[in-house]
Amino acid sequence: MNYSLLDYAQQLGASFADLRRIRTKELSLLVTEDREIVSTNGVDDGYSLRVLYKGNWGYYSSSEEIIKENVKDAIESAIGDETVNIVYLQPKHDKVEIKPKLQVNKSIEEKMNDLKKLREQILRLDNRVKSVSIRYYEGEVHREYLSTDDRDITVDYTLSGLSIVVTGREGDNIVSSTYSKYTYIGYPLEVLGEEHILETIKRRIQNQFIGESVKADNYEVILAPEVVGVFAHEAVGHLAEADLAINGILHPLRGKLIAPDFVNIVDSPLQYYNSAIGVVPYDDEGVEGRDVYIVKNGVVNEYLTDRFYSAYLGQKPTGNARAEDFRNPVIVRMRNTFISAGEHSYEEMVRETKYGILLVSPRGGQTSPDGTFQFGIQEGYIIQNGEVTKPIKMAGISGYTLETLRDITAVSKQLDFSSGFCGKEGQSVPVGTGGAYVKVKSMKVGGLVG
Amino acid sequence: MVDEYSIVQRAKSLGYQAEVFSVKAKSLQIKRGEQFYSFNLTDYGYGVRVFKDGKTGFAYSTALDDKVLDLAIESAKASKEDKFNVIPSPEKVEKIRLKYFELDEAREKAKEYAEALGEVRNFANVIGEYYDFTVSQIKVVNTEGVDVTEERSLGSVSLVFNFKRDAFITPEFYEGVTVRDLSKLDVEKIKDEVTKKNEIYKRRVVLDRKFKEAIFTPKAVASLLSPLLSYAVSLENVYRGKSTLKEGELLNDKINIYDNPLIEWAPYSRSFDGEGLPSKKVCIIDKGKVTTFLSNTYWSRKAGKENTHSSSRSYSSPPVISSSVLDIDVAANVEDDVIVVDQVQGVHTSNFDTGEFSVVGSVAWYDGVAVREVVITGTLKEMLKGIIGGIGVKDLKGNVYTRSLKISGINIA
Repeated sequence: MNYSLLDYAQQLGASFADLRRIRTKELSLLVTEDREIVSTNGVDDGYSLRVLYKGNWGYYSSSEEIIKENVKDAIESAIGDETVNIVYLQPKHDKVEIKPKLQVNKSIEEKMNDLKKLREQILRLDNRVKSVSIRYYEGEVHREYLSTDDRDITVDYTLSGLSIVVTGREGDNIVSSTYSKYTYIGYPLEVLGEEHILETIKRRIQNQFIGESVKADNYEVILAPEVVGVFAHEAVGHLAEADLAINGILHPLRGKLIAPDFVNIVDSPLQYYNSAIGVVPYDDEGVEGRDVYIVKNGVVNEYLTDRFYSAYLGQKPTGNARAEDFRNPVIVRMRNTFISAGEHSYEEMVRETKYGILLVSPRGGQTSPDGTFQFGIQEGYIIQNGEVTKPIKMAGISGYTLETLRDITAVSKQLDFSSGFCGKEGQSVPVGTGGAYVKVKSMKVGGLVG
Repeated sequence: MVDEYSIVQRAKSLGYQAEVFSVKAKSLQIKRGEQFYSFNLTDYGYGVRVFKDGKTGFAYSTALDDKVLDLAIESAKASKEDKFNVIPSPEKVEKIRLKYFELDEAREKAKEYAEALGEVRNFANVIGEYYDFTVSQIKVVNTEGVDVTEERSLGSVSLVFNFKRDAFITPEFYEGVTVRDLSKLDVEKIKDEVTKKNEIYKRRVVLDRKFKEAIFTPKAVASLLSPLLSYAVSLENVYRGKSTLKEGELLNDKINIYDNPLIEWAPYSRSFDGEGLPSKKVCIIDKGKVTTFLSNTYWSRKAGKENTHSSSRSYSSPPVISSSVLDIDVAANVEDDVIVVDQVQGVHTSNFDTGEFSVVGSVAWYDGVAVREVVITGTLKEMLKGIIGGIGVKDLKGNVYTRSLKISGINIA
């Protein structure tokens, strides 16, 4: 990338300027019960120039290389209330390459053949399975960053994954289950393991046929790591994104106890778990990532920031500024958000539950800055007299973040991560969500229908 | 020089049928919030499909060169032979006008809109104001003679806000207007909605009774009913047993639902679809009876049904079936006497195959007072069967043109 563009921006009066290039080589394959197609094969490549001029941001982004004339466009479009102030950093030059541990050099045809074999195994799992969609994705990501405070950063990594939807039918009864995991460790079939994928799909689809509907009510619940991850992300993490936090329910509670003192909620730039795909060693403002303790020993501690909100809140930069691609501005986002491990064992938590629900796998979720959250559950079980018993049908859970955090009674030693893609302001970025098993004394659980 | 035509010619010389879908877009987004920014974007992209011996391959690039064709051919080699993989043949396209402004004009207009919304900032906590404008050129060219181009403009103003009361913080509200023609962009509609929410959210109570009926505003219909219905009326999903709707099934004789991409002023309107075929107004539900499912070239041939020309795509993906503008016709003949739902959250947690949903009514009121802890459960089919009638005038929200709908047969608690 051309540093002279940044020099030129400064000559035109910009107090700060940065330039990003994001290049992603993508491949996506789709195998259904009777189709095999390459649904994406291409290169997405573009540049984004940003200038801070008279206290306002101006961007010029393009799929073509940016030229001097575009710097003027960025400067001229920087209009506003002239109040943007940011944190400036020490110069740093770095190249980070995250190499997959389980890399497999396979042609497109070989990868397609692997998916065809997987499809045949899925169709044999249960004769009620009528349709299957297996999506394979891989993206080789190359991000470059240059700034006027002399940050020159390059980050390379590969993200790949499988997203599987299986639909079963018995008479008029239609059920479906999903399995979706992405990883930065290597070829997903190797990393995730075919046996694990098949077992999970079989269990979920069969549970939906025999599962009991849950009567809408408040229950004692144990949230498994996948569900805890969605809770940590949706119900807490979004509230701690500085742009949302200052208008939400967390800000007035900063420094106050909102959960038992054994609860810690963290957002981290890198976690060595297969599915912790929020890989952001440096963010899209050239800031090195650090762990952010949103809740520390039960107390609201700090927020996720970009350069602007670090200055606004007087907080050390965290490295949470991200953009999906060159088509989008940089905004505050999460990376790998989780409730960290506690001291209980999962077995002990189940044993001590007289009647409750074990919530194992979510199906999306959403939160609002007023503290309400809602998400779907695709795999769960009744706990009776200290034992996990019957599966439940698809359900939904909802509540108030602060009440749920207050009602946590135990956190397990075991910890795991799941992968996801988080949407905000029309942008989607990969994130890791995770945590320990968490026991909550009361949570609203409702059957999907009824 | 490499262009769409030279790619198609080269494919032909290599023995392939080919199609190039290209987008040349320039856009401007201005955000007013804690950090003001203006975002200028130039985005060019090219999606190439090739066909040979029943195999199809796709590739895309943000730069047009011969490599993208080579990638598409590589893709075709890995795909399965399927006799329904056929390149579309040309059909006459009647153009509708979809471009009404240039970006420079939009830049000036944005200042006017921001000024007009100024008074809202005096009583609402405005978290973000967004002014988005795009002017694009869409082109589809193929070896069989499809050669269509059109220019489109799209402008929108939207507001995200809440109210900070002494006792509580309200949910975030989203209000916006999207148009093709900026002279039709009326920010007063946004101001009226903010004022209305300010009155309703003076206080908020826990919903302490159950309802079997509710009124869904056009905004709520767009977020809940529209995605579930669009999925269920896709011929692909019907063919694959992933829809609960059946052809000929009678749901509710009070409703007609059309997919109409030919409403000129509506966002999501288009003269031709993602395969370059002429847009059609399609009656999906006629006097309550399910009549037609939306299709494209592949699925219409595979299922032996009419091609409704309902392909949608970006340059980075091959065409898929999608609804355009869902036009819901229901008579305005019912009373406004039950809970009103204006915003829902959690729709993406629904089971789209079965149409089951359990969502939170994040913005809802009863008897003029805001209510909280509203959980709405039901199925798409129950919703369609339960439409009792409409209230007020039709409004376009998202891709739905409808009145507020009074619906029974769902559970609200």
